[in-house]
Amino acid sequence: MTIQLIDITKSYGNHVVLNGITQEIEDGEFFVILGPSGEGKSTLLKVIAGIERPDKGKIIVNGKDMTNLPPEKRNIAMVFQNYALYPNMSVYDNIAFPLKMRKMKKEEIKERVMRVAKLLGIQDILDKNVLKISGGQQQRVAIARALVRDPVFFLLDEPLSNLDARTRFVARGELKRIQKEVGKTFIYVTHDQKEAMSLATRIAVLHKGKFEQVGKPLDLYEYPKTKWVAQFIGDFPMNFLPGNYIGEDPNVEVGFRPEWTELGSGIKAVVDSMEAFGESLYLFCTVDEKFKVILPSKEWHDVGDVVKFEIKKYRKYKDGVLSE
Amino acid sequence: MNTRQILIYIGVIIFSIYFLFPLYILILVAFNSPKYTIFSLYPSLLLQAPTLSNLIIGLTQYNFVEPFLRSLGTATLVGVLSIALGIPAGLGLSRLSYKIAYPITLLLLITNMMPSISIAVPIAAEFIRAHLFNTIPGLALAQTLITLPLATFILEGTFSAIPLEIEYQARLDGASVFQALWRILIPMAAPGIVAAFLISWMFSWDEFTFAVILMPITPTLPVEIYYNITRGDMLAAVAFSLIFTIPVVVITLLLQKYLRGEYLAGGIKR
Ligand SMILES: Nc1ncnc2c1ncn2[C@@H]1O[C@H](COP(=O)(O)OP(=O)(O)OP(=O)(O)O)[C@@H](O)[C@H]1O
Ligand SMILES: [Mg+2]
Repeated sequence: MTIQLIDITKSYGNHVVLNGITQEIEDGEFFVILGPSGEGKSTLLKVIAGIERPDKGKIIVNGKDMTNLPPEKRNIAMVFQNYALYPNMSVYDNIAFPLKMRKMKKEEIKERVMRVAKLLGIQDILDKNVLKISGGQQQRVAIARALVRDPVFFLLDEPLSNLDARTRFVARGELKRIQKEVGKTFIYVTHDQKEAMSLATRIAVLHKGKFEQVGKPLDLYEYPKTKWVAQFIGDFPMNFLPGNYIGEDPNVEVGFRPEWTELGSGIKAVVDSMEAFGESLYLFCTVDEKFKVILPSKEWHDVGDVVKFEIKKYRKYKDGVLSE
Repeated sequence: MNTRQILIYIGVIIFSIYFLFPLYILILVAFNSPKYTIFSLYPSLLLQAPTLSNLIIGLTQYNFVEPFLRSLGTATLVGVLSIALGIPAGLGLSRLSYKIAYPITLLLLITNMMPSISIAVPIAAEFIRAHLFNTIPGLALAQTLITLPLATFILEGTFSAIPLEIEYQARLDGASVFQALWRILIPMAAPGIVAAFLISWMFSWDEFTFAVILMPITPTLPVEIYYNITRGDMLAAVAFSLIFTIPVVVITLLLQKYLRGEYLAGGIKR
């Protein structure tokens, strides 16, 4: 099963949100769409789901054109950011709703609901009202409702963003496990690059209505196609300096991750501030009063200290685009 | 208890007396011997000689059952019509952009300010031709003219409080537009629907202008009470008024939780 998006375009008024997205998504992929807030990630999911009509373009699933099908005929499961649970129903009825709409027999509905409830560990709350359970439980119910009915593929719109950091960490692992278990395609939207890196088989970075780069998480980290992607991906943005600092053509910029440097000798930088991140310390510095760089360090430095660093590995960018 | 609370309580008491006093007089006239009330120059404010004979005379001498049933039928029809038309209208408005929905809602409510008397006469003329004059459906249609904008306004507010994602979710779960409405949106909007029904019902229950012009021959209860008073039959009027008030009190008590302000805020909360 493959999903093909062909030249998807969508505007609201004269605000172009999606500007010709063409992409193929493979069977069984955990495909993450990553982008900052307001870039049109939710809009793209809504177009795929059939809630919004694209102005132009096609959605083809398994060779079948779905562009003009209403959402109820597409058999796509979706989990919304706010979970969209039906507040007038119990947990059980929420999960059973898609099966009832398919006119399934009562016993079969019960069997299936029980099976997903067990998979997600929510057997004990099936009788409760969905407004009377915790955020983490609501998220599981929403996922259970998506899983229960054997959809063609899954759309998830920032399903973890309403959870506290700890629960989110657990839920992330669980999502990955579930995706492996059902073996179906997940299209997952997030603005959290870390989440994207840990979940995705492939990431598509959405910027200005287009997929600026699509690739494996490590490729995005190692070879960001544009300066913008380089600064968006990673715990810290990639550093950039004009080429002449390391004897390259001054018309190119060299981009390097903080870990690709070594303190000691070389280019001079003034420390502006420090931050502890995990095990390491990071220095926020300025080179020649103009260029900001972030450097990892093993020791504390004071503000105003001068440090020297060498670039061990770098990529070349011309006009903001990777050139190699 | 601090001074602020005491002042609030005093305010509430004055307010309640202001509204309950007429009702008290009604009960007094109904259960006191007429010589202490309508026949006395300086009527007493206390129950002097309790009696049931006023009511017995009033209710046996005249037929109140038929006007009561006519009122009941009309009010119920008005309530049903108002929500049957108000649900699609309110849902539609709630899904339009605010810039379009707001002027439409405003226009609806302005039409509502038209004096009933000035539209009742042309309606009567049309109804005579359409054989709707002096009929319950005819009167109900005319009264719905006033209640429908209110019901639409309440329901617009109710539906716009439901997140769009819930409707999308229902569609993705395999529900058609109609199933999503019936299984999800309407149950979620139930409090607003009840409020809209009640407001319409109660409006029709004591509506007078349309009733007296469009259904004068076999009148509804408020008009019947008015006829009694003009005929000089105060005791019958009082008995009827009492009967008339009971359903309102019962309904209000039963459904008061739906009549809290939040459901009536309508399209205001955005
Ligand atoms: N129904 C609509 N009418 C007009 N503009 C809209 C509508 N829906 C979305 N937009 C606009 O389209 C843009 C993209 O919105 P969208 O919700 O897809 O962003 P997003 O990437 O999902 O953001 P977030 O991470 O905040 O959820 C935004 O600028 C938004 O204001
Ligand atoms: Mg979004």
